[in-house]
Formats: sequence, C-alpha cells, structure tokens
Amino acid sequence: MNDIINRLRDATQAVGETIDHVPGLTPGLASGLALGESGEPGGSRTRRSWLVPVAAAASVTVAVAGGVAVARGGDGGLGQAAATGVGPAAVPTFFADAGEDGITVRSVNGGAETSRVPEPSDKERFVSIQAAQDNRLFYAVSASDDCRPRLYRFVLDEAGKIGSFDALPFAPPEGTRPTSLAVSGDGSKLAYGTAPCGREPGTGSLVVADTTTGDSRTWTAKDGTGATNLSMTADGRLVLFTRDVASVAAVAEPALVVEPSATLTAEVPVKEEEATSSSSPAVSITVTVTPGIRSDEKDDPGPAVVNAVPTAAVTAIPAEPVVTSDPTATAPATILPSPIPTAAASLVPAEESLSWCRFAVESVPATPADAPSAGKTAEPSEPAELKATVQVCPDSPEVGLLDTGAPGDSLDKATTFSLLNESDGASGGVLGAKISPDGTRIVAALGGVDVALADGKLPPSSGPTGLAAFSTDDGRPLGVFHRQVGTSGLRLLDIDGTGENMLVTRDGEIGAVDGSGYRTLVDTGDALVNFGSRIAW
Amino acid sequence: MIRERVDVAALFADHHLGLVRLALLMVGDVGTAEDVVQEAFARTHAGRRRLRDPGRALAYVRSAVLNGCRSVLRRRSVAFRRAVPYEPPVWSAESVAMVGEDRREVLVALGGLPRRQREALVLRFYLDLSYEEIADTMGVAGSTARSTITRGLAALGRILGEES
Repeated sequence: MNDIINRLRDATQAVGETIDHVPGLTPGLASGLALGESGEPGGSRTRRSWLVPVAAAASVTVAVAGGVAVARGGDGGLGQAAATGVGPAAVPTFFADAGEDGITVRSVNGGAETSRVPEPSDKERFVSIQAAQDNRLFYAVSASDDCRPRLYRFVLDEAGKIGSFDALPFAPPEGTRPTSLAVSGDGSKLAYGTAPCGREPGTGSLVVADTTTGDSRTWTAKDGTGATNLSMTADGRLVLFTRDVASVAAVAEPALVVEPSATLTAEVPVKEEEATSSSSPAVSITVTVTPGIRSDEKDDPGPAVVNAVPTAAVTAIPAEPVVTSDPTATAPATILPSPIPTAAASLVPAEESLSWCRFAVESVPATPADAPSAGKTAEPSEPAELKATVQVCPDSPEVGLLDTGAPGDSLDKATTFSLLNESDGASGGVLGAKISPDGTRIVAALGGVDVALADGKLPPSSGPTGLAAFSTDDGRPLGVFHRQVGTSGLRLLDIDGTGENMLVTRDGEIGAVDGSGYRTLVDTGDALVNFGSRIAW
Repeated sequence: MIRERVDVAALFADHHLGLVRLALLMVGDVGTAEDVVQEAFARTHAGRRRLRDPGRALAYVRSAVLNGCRSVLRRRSVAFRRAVPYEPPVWSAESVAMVGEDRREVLVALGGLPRRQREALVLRFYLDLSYEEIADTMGVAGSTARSTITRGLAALGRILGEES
C-alpha cells in the first residue's frame, strides 16, 4: 500500500509541477480586490482578463429542464386516476429540487426541507424531476457516466416525507442522456427528451412512455438537435418543448446579425501600464460564430445573433503564457456550444446546447476620490468595487408542440411557434415556456436576468417583465397575466396541477406566482442559483 | 464588509496556483483548471458575506473548486455536441512525455475511480490534508473521509496491480 501511496504522491506532484505559475486574475479585478503584486505568482506578465467564469455563466443559463404535469380538476374526466392512484389536481404544498445534492423536497409554506434523497451513486445523478397533478407523486430521471439513464418514482406523504422511492422497471435507452422530463396529470405517461450520451454527435429524440407497461413511442429529431424544457398536458396528448438550438452569443452591442460561421474580429487594447516587455501591446480576438444546429439546405437556418457590449468586455486570453511574447499576438477563440475550450485559447468553453449571452466587467473605485489610475493596484485598504454582470441567456423563442396522438415519428412534424418576446408591455427574452394543464395556453416568462457578480445581486430589469400567455392554436399572444416592474426578471420553472400556480425563480429566490401576485417560497441566497438543478411541483 | 472582501482576494492570491494545480489533477488541462478556479473565485467573492467563519474559507474555496471540476466533468460526460478538440489531459498518451509512463498509469487509474474516492485521495496525498480537513472540504464526516480514502487506495492498488 505504501508503494501505491508513494506512486500516487509522485504522480500528482509531477502533474502539479507542470504548472509553475498561473496568470493573475484580471487587472481590474486585481486592483478592485486588492490582489497585491507580491502575492500573485503571475503578476509579472500580462494578466489574464477576468472573464466571467464560463461554468458560472453557463450554470445560470442552463434552461430549467423538465416539463410540467398539469391537469385541471374535472377536465375530460381525468380526476382520480385509478392506475397510478393519483389524486385530483391540488394546489401544491411541496416542491422538489433535483440538484447537485440529490433530490430535496421542501414545503411551499416556509420553504423548510421535508425530505431528501442523495444521488444514486457517484456516477449517476438526477437531471430532471416532475410531479403529477396531485403534488404527491413525483418522477425523476437520472443520467450516468456509463450512459445508462434511469427513471425513478416516489410518493410524498402529507408531511412531505418520501414514502417509497423506486427505480422504474424500464428506462430511457442506453447511450442517451435525458434532457428533461414531463408527466401527465395522472402520472400514467412520461415524456422525456434524450440527447446522445458520450462524445459522438448524434440525434436527439422525444420519448413518451406508459408508466404502467413501459411501452414507449419515440420521435426523432434532425441530426444534432434535440428537445428540452418539456411540458405535457394533463391528458398526456400534447407535449411542448424547446428546440435544442444552441444560440451563440458574444459581446457586442447593438446586436449584430451575422451569417452562420461568420468570423468577428475585434481589437482589444491592452493598457500600457499593464503590458510588460514580454506582453503584446494589443491582442486581437477572433471569434468564430458557428451555429449550433446544422440545418438542412432546404431550411432557413436563421441568423446567429451576436450581442456585443461596446466596452469590449472580452479580452483574448492566450492559453499558453509564451503566446504573449508575440508583439502582435492573435488569439483565436472559438465560441461554440461545447464545454470544451479549444487548445488555442480557452476564451469561452460554453456549455453544450446553451451559451452565456454576455457579460461586462468593470472595476470602479469604492470612493471616487480614491480612484486608482488604470493598471495600478489599489491599496489593500481601499478596495475598489468590482462590477461584473452576466446576462442570463434567454431560451429560444422557438417552441415545438407535439401532438402525440398524430402519426409519424419525426419531431420535425411538431408545430412550431415563435413566441413574441414582447407582449402587452412586457418584453425581453423567453425564460421558460410551459403548456397549461388543459392545453389551451402556453405560459412563458418574458424578461431578462442579469447577475451582478460584484455583490451577488440581480439588478432590476430595465423594463416591465412578467408572465404571458400564448394560444396553442396559433401562438398568438393572449396577454400578460403577471407583470412586474423594478425587479429582476423571473424564470418560469413549472405550472402546478391546477394550472393556477406558477413556480418561478427571481432575485435568487424560488417563488410562486398566483392570482394574488408573487411570493417567496425560499431564498436560495445565491444569485447564481443553478437553474440547471431542476425544480418542480 | 471590506475586510471580508480583502480576505477573499488574499486567499486567492495565496492559493491561486495551488488551487489551479488541484483543479488540473481533476480536469486534466490547465485552461479548464484555470477557468474552474476563476469560477470558484467569482462564487466565493459573490457569496463572501456568507463566509462567516474565516477559518473555513480555504476549505470553502477548495470545495468550490472541486464542485467546479465536477461540473466540468459532468458536462464532458454528457456533452451533446463536440465540435471542438480539447487540450489533451495530462494523463493522456499525448502527455506521456511530460510526466512519464509510470505516472501516467497512476493518473489514469486515479481518473477511473469514483469521483469521491478520486477527490479524497488527491486531497490526502497531494495536498496532504488531514482527515478532518478533507471531511470539511468534501462536506462529509471524518469517518467517511477516512473510509473513502481506504477504499480508494485499495481500488487503486487493484487497478495498478492488474496492470502490472
């Protein structure tokens, strides 16, 4: 055993020693946070610009997967479901979160945790969770490192305790990764999206399965696309989903429309004071914009939109320190819907199928009188305020509505609606869209969410935001039924079994919107709340 | 408030390199490791007001780094599209010249262990943390940390034994 330990120590030390210094955080950040030159191993060379860390940015952009099992009491005779023992649609008393720590069930009243289930194993984690209409029967789907996803079912008692927690005898196909889960009102049908698991590109699909028999039907998407953000009507006939279109966005404003695979080059000057003899006076960024979806020739691929901030918040980051010796270094940085950075430059290894939209980093002195000159390090006792914001990417406004009663096995046959991002005064991107219990409406959150990393707060949106309804007949707007001004935008997570209560996140909180307005359910205390942790009721 | 902010900055100034090395052992390439550490910094900075116990700050940051590494590894394992080649990890065959074949075997074996075992072993034998510190970092009980390390070593021994 000692031999193993020695080899382990030796190998890990050797790896550690492959790095002898790291770039500093950022000039602005360093001065803003009083990171002294002395304590910083990389302080002598051109410092790495402080990019909003991609993983953080990506985590806030992760669409809340999962659909909604909804049913109106008494519609179409659903009511009590004998097969699954599910009660009638009920106003939620619990909500569940399938996150990094497994599944957590909380009370709507006060947000207290009532039950918890750890992740199934080190290599398997829950990726989506949904409730049937009675708010007692829940389903969850997992993904695993070995690409063998599983489905789980559990029932809550009146105290919110999990009575039984079981894996279903059937599972999504091996070699897939579930993207999202939706449940019919009585819990007899599940819908889930799948994406290829592993490293090979492949095709996404949408599967509807009978929870009693395990029988399933699959709709296949075009190569490289998929379905996320599923929701299902109470009768299980209609499934609403967001097409897994990987939007690509970099910094620049106003919005530029570029053709797919266009290349955008920007010059980012490096301040003289920050440049050292071995660093470049100017760094050119080349941002290659590649559409995430390769559409067929006959289809209009649509433009990729690049948003940019004039203050040029992106600074090229040579991945290798030696690059800085080139006086006219060019750092090609590819922004792609992939979590893996290029070897040439790790500018934005965006999360797959999603992307951050934009960010801006600014360092301002804590008090104007103490303003440090550019490039100088502030005194430790006078830290400047770091201002950094991440704009949360809205979802694609393109939603698909699949009639599971119609023939065919192509997901492209689903009706597509492009939800207007402005309706009745509320405007902004689409932040979650779900189908109503009775299948008559699509409910979508309209607005924008910026996360300020400086203070961890969410600045208010610039205009009115809210929850809007759209017709499932033709996608036309039906009006805004919840409007808010002067707060951060909200994201729609789920609709309850009655169709009257919306589960949302706002300002780092999980909250509820009903006829009387917004109320807080639990304060997560984290502005960077991981929307990817699926939350449902 | 200002004091806390400076503490976070100083923490990273002191431990930035070490944290990147830790992340490197988990994710395999320097670029990603740096990103992970920067994310941990941003999160710690954003949440610094909740850092009530300065004595636990480093453990908190290490946890943030490990969490970031997990996220990266998960995204890799579930990648939907893979359009971009990525930097070969330090334990890949391409990197053998950097660390040597014997070490590479150990690193590959380490990478094949369950996540908690891998983390615990690195914290114990790379960072030389005590069981208590490992438990604090990983958010588990001290006894769990100890048993995880024992199991991890045993598994590592089996893998390396089989290879040799």
